[in-house]
Formats: sequence, structure tokens, C-alpha cells
Amino acid sequence: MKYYLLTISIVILFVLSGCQIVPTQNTNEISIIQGVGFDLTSDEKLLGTIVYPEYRVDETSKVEILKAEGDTVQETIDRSQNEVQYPLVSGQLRLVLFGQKLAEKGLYPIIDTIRRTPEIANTIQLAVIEGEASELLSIKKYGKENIALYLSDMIRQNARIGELPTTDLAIFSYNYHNDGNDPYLPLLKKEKDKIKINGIGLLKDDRLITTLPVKDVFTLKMLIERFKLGTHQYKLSEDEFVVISNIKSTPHYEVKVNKGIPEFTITIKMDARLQEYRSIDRGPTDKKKVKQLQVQIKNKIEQDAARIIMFLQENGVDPIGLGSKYEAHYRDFDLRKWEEQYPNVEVKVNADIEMVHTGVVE
Amino acid sequence: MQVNIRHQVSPYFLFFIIIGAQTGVGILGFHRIIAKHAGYDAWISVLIAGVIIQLVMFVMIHLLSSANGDIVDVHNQLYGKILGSIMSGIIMVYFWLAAVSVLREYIEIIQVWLFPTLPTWVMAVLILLLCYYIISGGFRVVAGICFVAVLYTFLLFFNHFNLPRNYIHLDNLLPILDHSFADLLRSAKETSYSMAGFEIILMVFPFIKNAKTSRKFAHLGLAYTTLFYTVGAFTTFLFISEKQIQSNIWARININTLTTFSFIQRIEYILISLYLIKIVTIISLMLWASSRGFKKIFNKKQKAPLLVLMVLTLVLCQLLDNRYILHSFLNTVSSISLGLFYLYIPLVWLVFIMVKKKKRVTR
Repeated sequence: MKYYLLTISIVILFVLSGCQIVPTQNTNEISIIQGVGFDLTSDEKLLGTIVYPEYRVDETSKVEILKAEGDTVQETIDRSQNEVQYPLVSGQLRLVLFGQKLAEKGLYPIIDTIRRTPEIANTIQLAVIEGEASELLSIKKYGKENIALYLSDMIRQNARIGELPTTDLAIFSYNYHNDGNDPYLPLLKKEKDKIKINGIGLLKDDRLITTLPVKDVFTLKMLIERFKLGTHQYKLSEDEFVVISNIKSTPHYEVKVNKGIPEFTITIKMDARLQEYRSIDRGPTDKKKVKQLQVQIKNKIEQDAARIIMFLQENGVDPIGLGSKYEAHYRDFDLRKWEEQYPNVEVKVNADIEMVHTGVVE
Repeated sequence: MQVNIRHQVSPYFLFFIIIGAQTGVGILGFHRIIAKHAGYDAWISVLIAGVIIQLVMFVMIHLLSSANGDIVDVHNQLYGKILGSIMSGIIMVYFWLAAVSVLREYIEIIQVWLFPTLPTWVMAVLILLLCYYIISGGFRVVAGICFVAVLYTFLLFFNHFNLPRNYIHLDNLLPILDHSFADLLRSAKETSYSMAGFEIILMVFPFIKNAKTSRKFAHLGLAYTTLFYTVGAFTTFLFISEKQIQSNIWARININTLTTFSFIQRIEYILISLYLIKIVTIISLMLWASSRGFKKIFNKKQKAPLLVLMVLTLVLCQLLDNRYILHSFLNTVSSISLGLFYLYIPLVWLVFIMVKKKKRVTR
């Protein structure tokens, strides 16, 4: 009886695999999309730019760029599909770029499409472009480099050891959906024929409101997340500069509600190392000097943070998530009331910076 | 009406059988359903539901041990042959529907995440063949499969503690107890589909050695699943914001997409594929119980009702052809389970105890 069953199973397995019930795709017969960019054209359509590598037997791989217009994301891909030898697949997508005009109009339809597609991972990088995404993706210089992988690695490494706050699709969609959080994305810019990170784009819901320049990004990162590594320069006076290297930085939030009006105290606790010190007097960086620097840097961070928060409040964006901290603290949280309160809410920043060491010399 | 000792399994198998039957497709997507009413306090609801199922389990075991048999014997002793058979038939149909719902839901996950073009019947035939093979080996084989499946749930349990720092937000859960007790209870009710499965004890009971004294294994099994679901809900809520979770049908799979290794990028594909072992366990258990019940009702060999049930499963799977029909089907199954095992069985228990006492007094 059981052998009989086993035989049937094996026969069915063979028959079914011969039936092509699930269409198969060979790896060398697909075009793997690795990056896409979207822009808004002058007649309010989407312009999709697709980056995929083309592997050849006897040459090194080449990166192909396709452009197509459409009203939906899929239409731009379908129009591109008409031009390629092998089917376009999106399982290896690493990077999605948005042109500034599109970002100002709203990203949600595209983000929603990406989230809806099961093949696309949650950890892909998103970025806003100052200018046009299609222009940036078709820079000649990166033709051999595979621009999609280049840019996604660039954003990732800058978030890991540099100044940029960590961003990806999962974090974006969390911030987008959560009450009292606003999403933020890295801002890329084409300069001559180079691409560089030019700050952070701040969004309200899914629309780009304003941008924060690169020099303020580190302070924003200190306010948003817990992180290690990253260096930043502080200008203490006209010819005195100090660079600290972050060992560990953690923001702590304290919310006090006074007659229905919240007050926030953000304490940035940071262990740092003296990385570089430049001034006219070339004295030793001994205990006294380091203490003095510590106070100066602390003041500098507090000023910077206060200025940035003021800027965020003026623009009505909340990438730090003060609203969600308030919501976690206060049971009668009302989103609409909070959004009215936000520009005038009092936020104090304390920096608690400790110079743990000064390198191998004093 | 005791079963031959050759077909019985050791008492501790009850632990594995309960867990094997309880942890099903619910693990991947129950989060948004329970968060509907109690928001992110819903993990407390899971604990409440855990306490309730312990009580129901106590009632069930007490009922079965005082009848010294399975639910068919209980019904026959209580109602007599004809009405008893009808009532048992209803419960057997429920077991069958539960098997269908698990099978169809799993196939849907495969169709959404892995193979959009895969016809339902192909997967159903393959899984059912495997289940037939297992069930035809007798109850001891089914219990053995449960053991393997529970090993997999241990793996899934540790998977919950994979919490990448950048993605978790403790604020999500605060403030705790922001919802009314009524909301918490309403959410606890919504867990019933995920928690369902422990009612398998109604058929399994006579197959456990020294079942009357080994009820602690059943309660331990329930405690483990409660812990599993609570930790599952708790950790999932850390990742996803309260509004977002309503749009995530399978929140747990979404979270698993955050994990990548250099040698495998999409760990969730493996997770879904490995899930087959859990699905096969539940379907085997449920179909075994159902066919065993029908066997006792109609006095036929178990093979006959089993084959009929398998064919009907295939047909019903094919009929549930879109998400909305499937969803209303799942809701129906969960309300049937709610009515049968949280209302009807305790009622039967009360009546049964009273009748027994009366008999003893008159005697």
C-alpha cells in the first residue's frame, strides 16, 4: 500500500515538473533591475529610469539604462520591457531615487507599489535627488561601475560609519505611518560628473518640504538615533578647530506635560575621542585643555541642535519623532492638536559629552 | 472505550501534539487582527486568551476523563446513538474545515510570496498526499510528526529575538494599558483562530497513556503557545507602527525580510518553505481526528472517511479562489471554533457532570 502511494507521489512529481506549472527563469536569461529612478515630467507623468547590468560571455558586464514614461510605476517598467532582450525582474532592486519635483508632489504611490511587491526587500535604499533622477543615473562616468550598487553602498556606508542617519524602506515606511514621526531621506546631488550626498531631505507625510545641509546632518543624527563611529568638526573660533570622533552617542528624551502643553528635554550622551585639534597656540592637549574643549564642544552642540530644532519647527517637520515620544508619554495624545502645538513647543537640548581619550598623544 | 495500548503514545507527547496543532499559519499574520481593537496593548489580550484556553482545556480533560473516551463517546453517552452521532458529526466537520483553512491559507502565502502562478490544486494534492501517507501510518506516526514540527517552532521562537537596533521602537508599546478592558477582551476573542487547535484533545485523549494523570503536559503545551504568541506579538509590535500594521497582512514575514546574510539574502523564502512541516502536521492531526470520528460514527474503516475527506478538501480548496472568500471562510471557521469550544463544550461538561451525579445518587 505504502509503496503504491510512494510511486504515485514520484510519478506526480515528475509529471508536474514537466508541466511548467510555475514558469521558470534562468539567471542568465533575465535582466536584473538593480536601481530605478523616478521623475515627474512636465505633463505630470512619471519618468522611470531603470538600471540593470548586462552580462556578456566575453566582455566585462555593462550597465544599461532605460527610460520610459507612464502614469504608474508598472507602466514605466512595461514600456521599458518592450525594449529589452530578457524580462526585467525586480528581486535584486537595491536603490530607488526620486527626483525633487516628484518628491515635492508626493512619493506615496511609488512607495506603496514597492511595499506591495513581495520580491522587493525591505532594506532597499531610497534617496531624493536635487534635480532629476534620470539625469543622475545616466552619468557616463559610472557606466562601468554599476551606478545602482555604487549609490546604495555609498548611502549605506555613510550611514554606518559616517554622518548620515540610517535610512531604508523599512525605516521610511515606519516613519511615514507612525503618528508623530516624519520621514527623512538622504539627498543626493550631481555636481559636474560626480554624485555626492548633499544633506537630508525632510518630508511631511510623503512630500518633500525642505532640506538640511550636510553640515547639520551629524547633529540631526545625534538627535535621532543611537550610533557609533562618525566624526565631526567644530569651529570654536576664527582659527581654532576641533574634530571629535564619536565612540557612542545616545539621545535620551524626557517629556513633561504642563497644562496640556508638552516640554521636551533631549539629552545627548556622547563618548568621544579627540581626533584632530588645530589652533595657533600649539600647546599640549592636557587635562585642563580637554576639559575646556569639552565645554566648548558641548555649547556648540547645544547651539547647533537648538538651531536645527528651531528650523524643523518652522518648517513643521518632525524627523526626530518628538510627537511619537509625546504620544508614548501622554495618554490623551491628539495628533491634530499636537501638529498645531509643534511649532511653538519648547525643546531643550543638553549635550553630555565626555572626552574618553585623546588618541595616543596628549 | 480505551484504545489498545499498542496504539497509545507516552504522556509527554501530549505537549508536542498540543503545540503542533496550535501553532499554525496564525504566527505569520495574527498581529494585525489582534491589534484591531486593543491596538498595541494586544499582547496583553494574548495572555488573557492564554488563561481562558487553560480553563477550557481543564474542562475538556475533565469531561473526557469522566466519560473515559473521546468526544464521540461523550456524545453517545449523553444523547444516545442518533443525536450523539449528529453532534459528533458537527465537531468532525469543524476539524475538517480547520484543516482546509490551514491548507488554503498556506497555499495563499506561497502564491503571494513565492509563486504567483501556482495553481491551488497542485500544492493541495502534494500536501494531501504527504498527509495521507502520515495518517495511514496510524496515530503514532502523526504524533511523531508533531514532535518534528515542534522542533521547528523552537526555531521560530528564537527568530523572535532577532531585533536589529535601528528598526525597533520601544515607544510603540507605550503607554501600556491605553485601552479599555472591553477592548482587550475583544482582541482576546480575535486570537481564537490562532489559538485554535488545542481542541484536538477531544479526539486524541484516549490515545495517551495514563491520560488522566498526565494533564500537566497539555497545560504546559498551552502555556508554551501562549508564551510564543505573546512574545511574537510583543516583538512584532516593536518593529511596525500601529497604523502600518493594519496594511501588513503577514507582519512576521515582512520583519524577516530585514534579515540578510551574505550567503542568503531572502531568509523569508526559507522560512515560508520550512513552514510546510508545520502545515502538514496540523492537517494530518485535524484530518486524522476527523476521519477517526467519522469512523466511529459510521463504523467503517478509517481509510474510507479519510479518502472522502481528502477529496472534499481538494474541492473546497479550489472553491476558495480569492482572498475575500478565503477571509470570510477563515472568519467563519474561527467563529465556529469559538461557539463550539468556548460555549458548547463547557455546557456539555456541566450537563454531563450533573447527569453523572444524578445517576450515582439514583443508583
